[in-house]
This record gives sequence, structure tokens and C-alpha cells, in this order.
Amino acid sequence: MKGMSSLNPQSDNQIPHLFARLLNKLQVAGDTIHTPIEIDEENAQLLFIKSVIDGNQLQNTIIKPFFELASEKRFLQYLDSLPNKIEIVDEETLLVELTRGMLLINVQQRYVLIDIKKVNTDSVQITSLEPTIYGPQGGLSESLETNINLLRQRYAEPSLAVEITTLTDRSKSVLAILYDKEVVDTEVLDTVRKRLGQLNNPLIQSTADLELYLNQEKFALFPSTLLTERPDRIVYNLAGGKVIIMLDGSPQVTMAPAVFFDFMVSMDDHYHNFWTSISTTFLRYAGLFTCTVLPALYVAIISYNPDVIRTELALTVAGSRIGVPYPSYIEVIFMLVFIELLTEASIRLPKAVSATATTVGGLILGTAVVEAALASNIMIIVVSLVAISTFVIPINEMSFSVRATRFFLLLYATLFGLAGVIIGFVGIIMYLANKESFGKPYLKFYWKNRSEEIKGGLKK
Amino acid sequence: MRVFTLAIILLLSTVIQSGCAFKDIDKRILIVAIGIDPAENSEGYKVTLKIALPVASVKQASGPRFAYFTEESETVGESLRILETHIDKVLEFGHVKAIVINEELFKDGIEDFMDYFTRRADIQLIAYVIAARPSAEEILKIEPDTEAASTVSLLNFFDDTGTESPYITTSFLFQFRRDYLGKGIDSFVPIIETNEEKNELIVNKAIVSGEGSDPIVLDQIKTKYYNSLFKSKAGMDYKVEDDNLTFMLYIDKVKMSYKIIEEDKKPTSIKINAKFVGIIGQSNHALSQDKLNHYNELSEKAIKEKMTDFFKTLQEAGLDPGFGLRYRATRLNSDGLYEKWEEAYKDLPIDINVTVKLKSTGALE
Amino acid sequence: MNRFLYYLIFINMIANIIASVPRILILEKSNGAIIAMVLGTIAGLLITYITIKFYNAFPGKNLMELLKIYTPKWFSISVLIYFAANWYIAGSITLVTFTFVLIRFLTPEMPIITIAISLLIVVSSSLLIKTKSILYMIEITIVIFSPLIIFFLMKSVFNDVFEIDFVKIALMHINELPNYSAFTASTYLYIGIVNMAVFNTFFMKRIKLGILPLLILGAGGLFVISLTYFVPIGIGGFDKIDDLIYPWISTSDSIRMKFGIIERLTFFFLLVFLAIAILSISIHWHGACRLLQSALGLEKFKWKGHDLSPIFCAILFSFVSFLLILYLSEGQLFSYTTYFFNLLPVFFGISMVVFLVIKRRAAK
Repeated sequence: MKGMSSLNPQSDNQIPHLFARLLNKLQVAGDTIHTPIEIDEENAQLLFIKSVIDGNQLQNTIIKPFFELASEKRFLQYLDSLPNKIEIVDEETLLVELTRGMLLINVQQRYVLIDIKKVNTDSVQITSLEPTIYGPQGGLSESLETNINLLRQRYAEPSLAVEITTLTDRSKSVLAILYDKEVVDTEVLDTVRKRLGQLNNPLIQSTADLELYLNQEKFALFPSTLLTERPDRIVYNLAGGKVIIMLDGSPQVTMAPAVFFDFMVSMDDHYHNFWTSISTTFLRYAGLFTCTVLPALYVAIISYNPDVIRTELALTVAGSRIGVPYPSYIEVIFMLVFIELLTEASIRLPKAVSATATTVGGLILGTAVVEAALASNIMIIVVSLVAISTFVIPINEMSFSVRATRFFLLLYATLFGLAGVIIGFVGIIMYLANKESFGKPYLKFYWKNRSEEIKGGLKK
Repeated sequence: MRVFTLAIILLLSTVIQSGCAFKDIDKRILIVAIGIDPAENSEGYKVTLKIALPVASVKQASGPRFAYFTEESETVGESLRILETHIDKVLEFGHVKAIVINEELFKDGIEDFMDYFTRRADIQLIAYVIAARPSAEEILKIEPDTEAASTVSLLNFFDDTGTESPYITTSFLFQFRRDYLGKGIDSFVPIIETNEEKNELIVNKAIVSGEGSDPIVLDQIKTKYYNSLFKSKAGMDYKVEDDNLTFMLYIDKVKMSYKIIEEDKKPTSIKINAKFVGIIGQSNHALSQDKLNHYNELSEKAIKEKMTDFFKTLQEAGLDPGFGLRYRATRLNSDGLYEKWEEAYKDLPIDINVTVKLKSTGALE
Repeated sequence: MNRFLYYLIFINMIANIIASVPRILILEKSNGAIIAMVLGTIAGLLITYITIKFYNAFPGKNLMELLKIYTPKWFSISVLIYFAANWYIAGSITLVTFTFVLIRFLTPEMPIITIAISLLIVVSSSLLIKTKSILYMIEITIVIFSPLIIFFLMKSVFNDVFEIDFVKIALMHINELPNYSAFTASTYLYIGIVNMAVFNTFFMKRIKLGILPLLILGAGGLFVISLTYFVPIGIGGFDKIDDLIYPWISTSDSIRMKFGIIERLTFFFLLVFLAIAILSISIHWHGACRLLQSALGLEKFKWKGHDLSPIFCAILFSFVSFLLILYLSEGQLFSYTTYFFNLLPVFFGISMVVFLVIKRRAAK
């Protein structure tokens, strides 16, 4: 496009009413372009926002053919047969479409809307949240179409249904619901649709954001939908009958329903030998158990029941606590908060600096704390073990929840001792067993072929 | 809303709870052994506590540090209460692993204070019961040269992770209680002694006691026989002498079975079958592989003699390693069943049948 | 047979190992405990069979619904209240026993109120959750803890301090007439089946009652009751075992794990069985709450759309248990427990009458 000065004053009286109204509303955009194209007596008018359309496409598919055809009638026919033509619904949506990269053409008193949007976000990103050793290394992109494309490539089933809607918030993001029509649980699908319809938040920017509002629980501790960036995990869950929710502009998707065990599966489990994957799974659950229970157990044993551990160990622990001025629970909370800070800091910092933070925090401070007798050696071991085992949990959301859970257990242990640890543990199980994800029980074993025993078991 | 109620309840309970049972490990003092002697001046008991002190760094510590507290009082419980006022820290009884009792106390009134230890729920029932000679206080205060930091060598004798010897009898508190009070079985408790320099602990004798009979002390050999026959402790040496040939058996498997023979509803004899499997470990003459059968016979004779001696000693003292129990266990219960046994036991003939199976003469002929 | 039904039954069997059942049996060791145990198992099986048979006729319907449909109001309300009381007492016995056990063996310095609070917070929140969730919770907890329980039970039999002669002596008391208390105590192991009154809503399919399930239940029950009775005797001896107030905890303290992470098995035992006990209490209290709700028509008791009746139940139940914990002594608890067990046949009798009435009316 060459003549890109603003409105041509000569053609002012030729502007159709619709264009005038739209132009009026789009004034603030700044880069709105309204331009007529003419050859001989034939003319057409174009309206678009420059920054969101693809210039090449505009040149090749609209302007060039117009001059080649040199006939309004033929040009209209040509436009009508373009595959990226979009139906015009009403003026409001038209505005939204324009801001998203559509081109509005007026030929022979008719309006045609063509999609020539320019997307800069369709490059596939490398998985960063859930790395695996084997399996695909590429994740999703930030463009919805590319993502659907990626999934279709991996899941070439004709029964894969894609429902595209638009969010009603300010972002007006496009949202896609994907499911396999043959295996999907219709109850869940209806719940998802219903909840999407009920959304009334002003701004939803990412899938994680959307996920929070979809849960419809004010004080949730555990995630009830699963956020992932791995196409293989998505496909695996699609085949398992789950509903996938995709938001344009987000390199993660979320899926429902999610049960507790979904969060403990790493895609690597499917790429390993039987015994290897069994042992890594076991290791993971052991890590989960360690990082929730260990701090609580430490306090309970040190402060309430030192007779549990062997005499030699008790003496070593007592020895390492010589000079530590605080009761054990303050020691634990202090060190746990310290570790949480360290983790948080290494997430927020640029990658280049985060190594320094870990070294300073972990090594230097850790040693100094023991030297200064603010915490015992054993405590440092416990805290490090807890920190490491937290990272074993494959899905990040779950590991954040578990980090919060262990403070609850720690409180219970501080108040009630060793019995408190077990009582609190059963309490957590009770909470999880009572939790639901889109109408499905959250913590429940799904033995094969037994699902019909209990009303409403999840179809596998 | 539930979250808030829960939070409020928890916060409230923090208030109630504040500083009740919450005692850090460094504010507790770990008692590893309790010693009991008869009081020196008055009626009652002298209680000695052996307390292990924590060491700041195990690697740098030269040896264990212990503290000892002694108190005399009418009852054991009372002494412990008084001792609590002598120590600034909480007495932690959960780690008591040995109850060392003066040998003299086995003669009378041991039930008085043993009851206290079972009644106290925080003292473990797997604590060892040990008899001390000459006194519990002296034995507890010995710190042998082989002792390393944060270990208690007194306990290493009995816990089967360190030394394992057929001379060492192990008796747990619950076992002591059940055998001492049980009808038809009596308790075997190891005796711990020391040498003159007081830097060694020696365990190779046992004391047998039961409700209603006087205790007897088993010497080394009888203790060894008890352990290998009833506890299947292997690795024992047996000396066999025949003319000028003397050799030692090294037995690695012992099996014994016994039954009570009854006629006319009265026990008439005890039949014992014992089987020993092992090798010859030492000899003063050259041995021949072909004559193993001969050695077997020699050994059988020697072992039978010692076994008869062992059982006779017990029988004469009216103490029972478990025959009465077997008698009760194989007869339908009826009134006076045990009384019948008690009457008969003292002069019941014991019929011993020993089989020795030597596998080799060791690495030499 | 449905696996959840097995859970309900076995949870109660295992929870009773630590509570009063072994003591009752051991007190009657030379008064015919052996025969009573066998008879108790048979009676328990029979009750299980009849109960399942009854509910099979009404798949997916719980007792409250059945009573409402088929019986007059006065009848259903009085039956429901009687049942609710029984459920509540059954749960409270376990609760109070465990509070006493914890203060005796785990944290003697802790005030009993604190221990009671720690248990009551979790147990009473089980009243607020969905009935179905209770079933899921049982399953998860069983899967987590059953390897430990099996390890523990194996360890208690297969160790060198277990003296088989003591067990034989106990067996030699077979020639005595069965004792009534021992009989009811052994029947009590099968009490779990009565929970079908509440949980039958979720058993949509007819429960197949072949030889195999009955065999599993019979063998399981016999196994549990013999462990309950013989293990303390084999380890603690026959003659003075009746002096021990909590025979099983003393027994667990007598077992040593030479190379275990912890040497004393008793902590391990206490904590694992504590988890099982919480489940058992939760099941009973949850049942009691649902029965009470239905009896008093508490469903209408609402505030701003929230159903307040579970909270009402939780407060009521916790308050009464508080009083029980504060004012009962161990001896009283034991004798009241024995009375409760001795009244079991009355409870089962009433159950049978209710079953008969409903069945008659439903057939019309």
C-alpha cells in the first residue's frame, strides 16, 4: 500500500455509511486505514487496521487481482470464492474482527470481510515447564490455529471435535474446546460449556487465568484442571476422554476433568520400560510423601516424641541442636520460608543470574546458618530434602499446592505432635476425596471395568 | 466459610496448647539405662540413672559422654521423682534400653519394682533386663575402652547387631515379665560383671528366677547350653575329651525338641531330642576324615553328659526352661493340671537323646 | 461383591484390634473365649448375609428412604433415632479409646483436651463432606496403609519372641462353654456391614453373594479375630496377660525391628491404626449424622442456601464426646463398652424386625 496518508478528502462523499460509522469508532486506533482502489470506472473501498494485517497477503490476494480482473463484478465473484472470507454478523462483532486483522471491502454496495491477519506468534516453543528425556521436545505455540494444527497432526481422528467461541471479556480472545466425540464424557463437556458461558470476568489473559475462573471455587488449594504445554500429554488426555480448552495467545492449554493422579504422571512414564516407569512412579510418590510429611515429622519427633528414633540418632540430633535458640517449629518455618524464597527468587530472576542466587542462598547462607547456630545440621538436611523432593512432582501447579499443604501439616504437628501428623494427613486425604473436578471425584482410584459400580464413575 | 472456622479453631487451640507437651529434644535428657540396687542404709532401693549426653559433633568427639545420677528412696518411682528435681531438663524415659538390677534383688521382691517398669507406658518393653554383679551402680558407671561416641556399649552386647555369642542371654522386659510370672516357665537373665580394672564388661553367665522359687546362677557352660538349646544360638564351642585326644567342636546348627511323656494322666518323663551339626575346630592330635563317625559318638557322649548336668541343676532348684509350658500346651485344660505337673517335675526322669553330625575336620586332617 | 463393601467390613475389623475387643476376649481366656470366637464369627457371617440379602432387594436405596416409603412415621422416626444412637456410640467408643491410648502411650504430657480437639477437628469435618467421598477416602487410606498393616501383622507373628506354646495353652481351653461377652465382642467385628443402611445408595447393582465372598469374609474374620486374640498371648504370655489394659499396644511394643528405620514398632503401629480408627469413627459418625438428619427432618434446616444440619450434628457430636472424654475413666469406658457389646443382639434383633416389616410392606 502506497497512498497511506489518512482519508482522501475527495472521496469523502463516497464513503458508505457503515464505513463512516466504523471509522468514527476506530478513530482512536491511529493506524486505521480507509482507502479506495480504482481502475477506470471500477472501484472498491478497503478498511483495515494496518498493524494487524499481513501486507503481502493484502497485496497478493486483494489488490493485484483487482487490477488484473479490472471489473467490479468479477472482483466480487473472486472475493466470494476466497476461502478466508468471513460472515458478517453485526456491527459490533465487525469492529472486533477489524481490530483482530480482518479486511473489510466494499464493492458494488456489498460488504465482504476477509481474514488476512498477520500472526507473529505461531512459532512452536520448546517445552520449559515439563521437560522430559524422551518424547517430543517442542511444545505449543501462542497461536490458536497453529496449536489446533499441531494437535490434528498428532491426533488424526475424524471424531476430534473443535468448537470455537469467543470470550466475552475485553480481550475478546478466541477460545477453542477440543474433544474426541466418541470417548468424551458428555456430562463434563456440558459443565465446561456452562461454566464458560457464566464467565463474567473483565479480563482473561491466559489459560492459567481462565482455569482459575473455571474452577468456581473461592478457596481452592489444589488445581482442578490440568495446565500443560506438552502436545503429547494433550493427545494422551484427548484419547482418554477429556475436554481440552485452548485460548488464543497462550502456549498452554487446560483440560478438564483432572484428578489428583493426573498431576503425578510424567509423559516419560509412557516412554520407559515397565519396571523403569514403575520405579520412577514410585519414586515420585515417595517424593510427594516426603515433601509433605517430613517437616511436620521433624517437629513432631524433635519436640514431642524423641523416643521414636534410635538412641544414636536422637543423640546426634540433640547434639546438632546445641545452641539453637529457637524451638524446632520456628526453626523449620524459618528454613522452609527461606527455601521458598530461594525457589521464588530463582523463578523471577533472569536465567543468567538465577544460578548465583541459588549458590549464595543455598550454599553460603546454609552453611552460615549452621555456623551461627540458627538452625541445626539435621534441619538443613531435612529442608534440602524437602526442597528437592518438591521438584519431583511433574506438574508445577501441583507442586505449588503441595508446598502450601505442608505448612498446614506443619501447623498440625506443632500443635498436636506425632498423632497430629497422621490425623492431619488423613484430614488432607479427606479434603481431596471430597473435592470435585467438573463433577468428577478428585481423589479416587479408577480400577479397570469397575467404574460402573459407583454411580457416575469416569468413563475410561 | 469452612476455611475460616477451621482457621479460628486452630488459632484458638494454639492458645490452649501453648507450651504444654512441646519440649524440644535439647531440653530433654536421654536416659539410656536404669540401675537398681538395694538401699545401703535403709529399706528401699538405690536408683542409678545413666544419661547419654549429646555431642555437638560426632566426628570430632573423642568418646561418649555420660552423666550419672543416684538416689535412694523407698520405692523406685519415688527415687525417680526426686531425681527430677535434681536435673534441669525433662527426663526422657523412652530411650531406656537396659534395666540393670543388682543380683541380690532377684532373691526377693523383684516383682515390687518390675511392676513399675511395665506400668510406665513410656518405658519400652523391649528394654533389656540385666542382672549386675557386684552392683548395678558400678556396672553402669563403667565406660569400656571400645566405646565410641554416641553409642552405649552396654547395649551392644545384647542387640545382636554387634557381638553375637552363645554365652550371652538376651532377655527383654516383656519376656522377663511373661516368663517370670508364667506358669511352667522361668526367666533367664544375663549377668553382667566387670574386671578388676573396671574397664571391661563381661557377660557370660545367667541367672534363672521364677515366681516362688529361689534363683540360681548358671555358670558359663550351662549358660551356653541354655542359649544354644533354647535360643538356637550357634557358633558355640564344645570341648570333647577321650583318653589323650581332646578336640573342640564348632557347632553351627542346633535343634532341640522335647515332649512330655504321660502315663495314667501323670507326667512320667521328659524326652529330649537334640541334634548338633558342625565341624571340628581344634584338636591336639591329627584327625582322620574316615573316623568322623567315631568322633560323632565321642561328642554325643560328651554333650549328653553336659546336658544332663544342665537340666538336673535346673530341676533340683525347681526352675523350668519351658517343660511345664509344653505340658500345659499339649493337654486339654482341666483343674489342677499345673499342680500335677509341679508336683511331678522335681524328680521327673529326663531322657536325652543326642545326635551329632560332624561335617568335616575343618581345613586340616 | 462390591469392593467398597469389603472395605466397610474390614476397616471395622481392623479398627477393633486396638480397641476393647482383645481385652474382652483375653479377660475371658479361661472362660470359653475360643468357642465364643468361633460362634461369634458364624453369627457375624450370618448377619452379614442377611443384611446383604435384604438390601439386594432394594438396590440404590438406603434405609432412610426405605423406612420413609414403607413404614409409618412414628415407626421410622423411632427406629432411625435408635440406629443413630447406636452408630454414634460405636464411633464414640473408638474415639474415646483412642484418645486414652494416645495420652497413655504417645504424648503423656499433652492435655487430654488438646488430643480430643486434634481428633475431633478431622472427624467432625467428615460429617460435612459428601457420603460418596467417605467411600473414596476409605479406599485411598486403605491403599496407603494396608501394606504397613500387613507388614505389621506378619511381623507380629513371624518373629523369634512369639512363643507358640502360650498360644497352644490358650487353645487348650477349647473345652469350655462359650462366654457371652466374648461372643458379642467377636460378633462386633462384623459390625461394618450395618453401614449399608447409609451407603446402599451407591450400590446400584445387586451384590452377588456366592460362596467365594462369604468364604473371604469368613476366613478374613477368623484371621483377624485369631490375630486379635492369639498374638498378645503368644508374645505377652498366657498367665498375666489379662493385667494389660491395652494388650495389643503392649504387644506392639514388644516387637523390635533390629534393622528398621525406627526400632520400636509401637509408634508405627499406633500411627497406622490411628489412621484406620479415624476412618472407622468417620464412617460411624457420618452414618449417625445422616440417620439423625433423616429422623428429625433436618434437611429443611437451611440458612442462606447452606445446609446447616451437618454442622449442627458436628457440634452436637463433638460436644457429647468432649464430655465423655473428660468424665469417663478407663475402667468405666471398658465396662460401658462391654455393656454396649452385650446389647448387640438387641440391635440386630431390631434390625431384623425392621427388615421384615419393610420386606412385607414392599411385597404388597
